[in-house]
Amino acid sequence: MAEKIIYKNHCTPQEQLSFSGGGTRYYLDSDCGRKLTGNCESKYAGKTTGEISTDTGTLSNGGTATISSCKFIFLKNTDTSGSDSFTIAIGAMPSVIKLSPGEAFACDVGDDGADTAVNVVITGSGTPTYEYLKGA
Amino acid sequence: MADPATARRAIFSSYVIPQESVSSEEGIDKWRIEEGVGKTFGGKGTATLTPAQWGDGWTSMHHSLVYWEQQGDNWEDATDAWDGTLTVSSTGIALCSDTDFNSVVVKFCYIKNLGTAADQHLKVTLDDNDYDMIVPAGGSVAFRGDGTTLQMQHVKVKRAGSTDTTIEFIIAK
Repeated sequence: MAEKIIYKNHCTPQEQLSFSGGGTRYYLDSDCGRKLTGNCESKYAGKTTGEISTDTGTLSNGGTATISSCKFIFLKNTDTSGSDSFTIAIGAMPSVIKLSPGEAFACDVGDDGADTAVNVVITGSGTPTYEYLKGA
Repeated sequence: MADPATARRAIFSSYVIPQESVSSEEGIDKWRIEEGVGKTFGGKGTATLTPAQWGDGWTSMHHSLVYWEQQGDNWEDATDAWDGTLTVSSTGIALCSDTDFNSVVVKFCYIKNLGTAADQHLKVTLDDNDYDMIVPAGGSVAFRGDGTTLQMQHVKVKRAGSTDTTIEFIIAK
C-alpha cells in the first residue's frame, strides 16, 4: 500500500484604503494583484505504509517539544485562549517561525545537503496546545 | 511607490490531505484518506504588515505604477523580477533586494515555486546558512516571522534540483 501527502499553502494579500467621507475597507493588495496558491505532493521519503503519523500536545511557557525525523511537517496551534503561541525551528535553522492560535504551517523539510530527515523543535510562549502531522 | 495603503495584511492558510492507496477486488487502485490519521488538516491566520513596505520589491508581482528607484540598491540588476517572477539558480539569492533593510525583521513571507519538473524543487534558508526547507515544484510555503530574530538578510532561496526554477514571492516587514 502506498501513501502520499498532498498539501496547499494559500495567501491573500490585502491593503486598506480610506474613503474621503470616512471609513476604511480592505481590498486585494494592488502591489500583488492576485491571490497566491501552491498545490503539490510532498516529496517525503519512500511513501510506504507507516511513514505518516500525527499527535497532539501542550507546551509549557518556554518549554520545547521535538518532533524527530521529519521529511514533511504540518503544525497547527490549536490553542483557544487567543494569545498563546509557539515558534518553530526546522533542522539546523533557528526558531523563527511563529504560529498564533488557529494558524498552521506546512512544508517539506530536509537536511541542506542530502535532504535527509531533520528534527523539528517547537518552543512555547504561554501554554499553547498543538497538533502535528509528519511524513518520515 | 504608489499611494501607500493605510494598512496591509496577509491572510494565509494551509490545507493537508494524507492519503493511502487501496486496491479493489477488481484490481483498481484508489486513493483515500490515510486510515491511521483519519482526517484532513488545516489552519488559517492573518499577518499584520507595515503599510509602507521597504520598497516596491517586497513582492515579485509589482504594482503597475512601480518606481524603479524603489527596486533596491541594484535596481539595474533586478530586471529579472519585472515579469512578476524571479529565476532561482544553484546560488542562494536574497528575496529582499535592498541591503539597507538587511536588519529589518520579516513579518510575513510567501514563496511559490513555479517550476513544473520534479528536479525543480526549491530550498529555503531562514538563517542565510542552512537550507532546511523544501518547496517542491508547484508548491509553496507561507510563514510569519518571530518578530525579532528573523531578518530580511536571513531569507534566501536556491534550487536543489538540476534545473533552474522561477518563483513568485512576498517578503514583508
